[in-house]
Amino acid sequence: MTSVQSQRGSADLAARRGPGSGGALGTASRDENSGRTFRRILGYLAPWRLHIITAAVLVVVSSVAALLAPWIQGVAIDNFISERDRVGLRSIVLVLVGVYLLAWVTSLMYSRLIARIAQRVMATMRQDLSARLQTLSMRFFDRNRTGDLMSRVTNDVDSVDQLLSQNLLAIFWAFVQIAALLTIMIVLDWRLTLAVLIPIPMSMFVVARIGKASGPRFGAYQGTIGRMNGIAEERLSGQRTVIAFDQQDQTEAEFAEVNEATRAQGIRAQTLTSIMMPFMFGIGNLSTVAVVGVGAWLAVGDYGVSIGLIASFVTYAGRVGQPLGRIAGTITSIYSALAGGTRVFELLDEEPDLPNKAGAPELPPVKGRVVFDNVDFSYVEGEPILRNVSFVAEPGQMIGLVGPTGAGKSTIINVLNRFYDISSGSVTVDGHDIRDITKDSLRGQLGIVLQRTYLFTDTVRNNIKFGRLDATDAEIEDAARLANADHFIRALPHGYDTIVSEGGNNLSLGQRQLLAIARAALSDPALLVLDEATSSVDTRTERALQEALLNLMEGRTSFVIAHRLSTVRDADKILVLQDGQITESGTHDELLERGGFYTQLYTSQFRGKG
Amino acid sequence: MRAIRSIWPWLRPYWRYGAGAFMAMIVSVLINLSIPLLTSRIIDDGIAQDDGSFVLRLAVTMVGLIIAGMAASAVASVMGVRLAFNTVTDLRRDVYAKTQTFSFGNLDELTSGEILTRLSSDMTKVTMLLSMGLSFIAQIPIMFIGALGAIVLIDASLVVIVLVMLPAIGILVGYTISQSNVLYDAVQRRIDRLNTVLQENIQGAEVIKAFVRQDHETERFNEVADDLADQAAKVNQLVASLFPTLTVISAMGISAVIWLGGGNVIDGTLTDGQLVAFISYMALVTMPMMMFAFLQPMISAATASMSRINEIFKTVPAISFVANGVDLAAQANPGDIEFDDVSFRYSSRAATTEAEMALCNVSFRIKAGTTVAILGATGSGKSTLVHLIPRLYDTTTGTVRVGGVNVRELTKRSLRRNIGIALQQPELFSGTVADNLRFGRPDATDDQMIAAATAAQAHDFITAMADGYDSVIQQTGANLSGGQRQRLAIARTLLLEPAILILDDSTSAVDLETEAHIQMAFDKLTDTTVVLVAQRISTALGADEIIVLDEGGVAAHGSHDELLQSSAIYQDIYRSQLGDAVDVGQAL
Repeated sequence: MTSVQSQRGSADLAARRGPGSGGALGTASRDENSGRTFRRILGYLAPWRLHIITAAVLVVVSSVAALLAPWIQGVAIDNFISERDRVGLRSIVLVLVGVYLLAWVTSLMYSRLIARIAQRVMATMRQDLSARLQTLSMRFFDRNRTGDLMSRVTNDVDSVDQLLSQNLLAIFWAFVQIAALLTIMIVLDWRLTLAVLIPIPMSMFVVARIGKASGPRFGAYQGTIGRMNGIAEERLSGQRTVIAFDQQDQTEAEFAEVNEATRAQGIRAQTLTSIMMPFMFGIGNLSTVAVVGVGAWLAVGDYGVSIGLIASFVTYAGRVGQPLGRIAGTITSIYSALAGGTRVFELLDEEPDLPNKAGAPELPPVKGRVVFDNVDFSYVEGEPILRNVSFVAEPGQMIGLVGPTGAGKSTIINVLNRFYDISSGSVTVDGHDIRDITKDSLRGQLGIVLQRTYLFTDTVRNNIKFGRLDATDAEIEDAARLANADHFIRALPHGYDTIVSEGGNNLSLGQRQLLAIARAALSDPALLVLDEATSSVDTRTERALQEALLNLMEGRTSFVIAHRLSTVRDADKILVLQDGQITESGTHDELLERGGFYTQLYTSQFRGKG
Repeated sequence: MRAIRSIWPWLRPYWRYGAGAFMAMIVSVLINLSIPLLTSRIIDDGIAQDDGSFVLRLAVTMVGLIIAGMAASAVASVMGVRLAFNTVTDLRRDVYAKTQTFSFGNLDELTSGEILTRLSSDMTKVTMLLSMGLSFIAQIPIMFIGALGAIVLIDASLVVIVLVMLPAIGILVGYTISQSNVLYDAVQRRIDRLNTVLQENIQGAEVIKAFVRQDHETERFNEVADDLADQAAKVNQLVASLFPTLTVISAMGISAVIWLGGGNVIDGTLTDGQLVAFISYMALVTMPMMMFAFLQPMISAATASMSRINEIFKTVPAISFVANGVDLAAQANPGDIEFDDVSFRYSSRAATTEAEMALCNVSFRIKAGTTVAILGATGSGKSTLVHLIPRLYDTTTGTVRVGGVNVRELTKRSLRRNIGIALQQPELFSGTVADNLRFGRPDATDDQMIAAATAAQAHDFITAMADGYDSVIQQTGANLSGGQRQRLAIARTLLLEPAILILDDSTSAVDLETEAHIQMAFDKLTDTTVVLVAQRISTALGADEIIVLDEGGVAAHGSHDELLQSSAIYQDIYRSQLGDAVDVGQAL
């Protein structure tokens, strides 16, 4: 239950919705699982106990009222119409109207009540999921795809809503109906009751068979649909590459192939269940015939059955099919709701793998001494990324991190920020081991410009403001000016109020990086980290930026990762990383003196063509 | 409703299923309509006449009819399912095919997520309507007319009850539908909002954690979730109220039948059996309305989905290729590039102002085999310019010529096959390394592939992976570093052996030494025109020609030495990295 199963491959995107869709899960474990899921969903209803009891009472009142009506109709026929009693007929019709109105008002009330409760429960469930997502580590987000996580919060919660707002109500309603129907019918006449019930076992049998047979068929269909969505998702998000390489025809053929597979599987899965409805309807009709036939035979034989009674039973027979039909229609959707619920709880149960230690104190205001002591780290067990990394950054120092791609530069930052926990060794800030203090108090004092710039679909202003929520407009603009972004922001159609669109073309990659720098500058951190913060910024802009960044770093411990060595030349200490190890360290001049790897890196900048 | 009709072209090949379902449905409805009539005959002719054998005969007939009705109805359902799945499978295939005609300009306006929704959940809604809804809807008028006819036959004086009820039901249903459409729309917008916030919370997790904004984001999400719940509760309550209300209207009708019909029985103008039958028909006459109310959300949802699907069909591909285009490979110098007074802006809708132009009156010529570097400030139009060469976008005004031919006259295949571009943000696909490298040229041999990977400095890390070239790459290349992804993207492009090779800042995450090796590999491609978008002066130093862009225009064009003499901007760029050169000189 603890790991969200993202490793099962792309075919799984939408595959886990239907009954038995996982394939690997056995029936027994599925039932057991479903039971637990069901109880937990009910747990969400607990705060609404009183409302639900009220709704239940209303359902009972409404059902009984609705079922009394046909009996009253029968009485009207036998006792008043047959007796030619117009006055009595009028009063019994008034009673009938009253009963119908009672049924109406009560069912209005419970329907509205349930609709509201279901929405509130869904909101709570979504909010719980969202809150849980916020506690999970980067490792979790590495392992799980955005689409899958989103689908849990949206689609899967929706399918739980099906269960709450429709299925549970339907089943409760159906049982109340059946109980009330049986009671009324038996009280009226047990022989006709038996006649009504004759076709029931048959229908139960058929429903059970269809339900059982369609499970695996749905599983296969949902699996293919999942595979198809997986292919479409991946190809479409890489569509620009598909276009650039002129592979549209091939991609189209690939999609068409899996799409074709859904045709037969869809028909196979749906055909069985589609027969269920007509069948249930027919059962209702058979009950009617049974009542009329048996009733007539009893009436002809003078066994004390009146026409009014038969009329009442005809109506009742018509209603027996309804609750059964609803139960039948509900069963498949309950399985899919429980499958959805299981996915919801999988995510809710995901344990934060980097919890704060119990009672961990906050990190006091940082002076800036950062020590890595023999740090080992790996993202995947057995593939070490950092090995024996040790260094000391004194307060106010600027540390440059250089080295080839994949040497572990960004990893040092990820570890310092406690996005990931180290395997062995220790990282301390002002002497506090970062595992012994709260993560938030650590990150709150670290200002980071990440390698992968992420901006929100919001105004430019709010994106910068994200760095410090209480910043004034003047402070925001100061930060933008520092990041050399003010100029281009003002040239945007709506200046600072321009919306940054997702993947749109209104900002270049370099401009996005400048906004990220402004955001970090605004947060006024004690420790500053720039991870390839200007890789897509042209060198002239970068040069103009350099001085501002140096000012910003003044008096703060800072870490700068860069491929362009000009960026780190002024560092107090440069750490050269190769294969996860620090192979050289010192100032720019010291390192050039040594003539080692740094010198090689450095000269390669100018080893152009020819 | 108009939108849903647009499905007809996809429905047409399967019209036989539709017709079959419809006919089976008519049989089933007629049988259902006959049941109350037969019931009344059992009461009046059987019970009243004490005729047991008549009762038995009629009952057996009814059982037979009901079984036939069940079968007919099952046939209708099965046909409906076939109709739906066949139609939707074709529709989905065509929607996807349509998206493959899109170019970059279309993708700027329609995100992959939006297309995906149309391929998945929108299709499901259309399927639902076709498989279940259609046959139900078809039976509504038949059932209505049949039941009304039977009522008139039994006792025309009671028809007035129906005439009062029906308009009341009509108004109620109409009102609910119009209200709920408005409300559903509001709900949909809140769902979109929820999705956006959620997606940002997941994709931006790193930033949110780094700035400790979890509480802020949680609050933001809670707000939209509450807002959605309130709005959805409103519409669900409205819709939930409809059914009980329709039931009570129908019940009032039945009460009226008992009151008035009972009077008629007392007067002797109506038999007991007819009264019972009448009550049954009352239920049948109101049932179509109830069914419609029940189906209405399904119809609304499918209609909304279908109009979203239509958006895709209505999207005009931003670039269309001429039918009998010219083959670029057949040109004498396919590597020639010429920009002739080219201007470009991204949004076709925005008003044309100078400021919004991404490129402005750009003109230059590059001879085949030249290596040209494009430099310029962030946002000066470098990526835009190179996108125009393989015609990923069309120019707004002016002409781009490749191999001496206007790109608008070249075939798509020859353009994309002979111009290789490594995009700034490379996209890899799940599959093996080899699959990814062969993406643009599936028939490349292993030797060709390895040569390309070696040139792109990717061979070493590929062979260091567990399964070498058969190692599996996860979706979007999550198991590779940024630099590794870029090198695979370069290798993939090199494998095309294109006449023009474009690298759009595609070594930004590659370290300098590796980058230098990659550039040395380009030196060997003497026939290939190489276009490098670059930030580093070192790249420019290695190029034959340099184009400096400034605010969408060409600020300078020439060799390094020429520009160093003549261009102030270039001097400035050069000086921004000059210090390094001096240091290197001292160190060596």
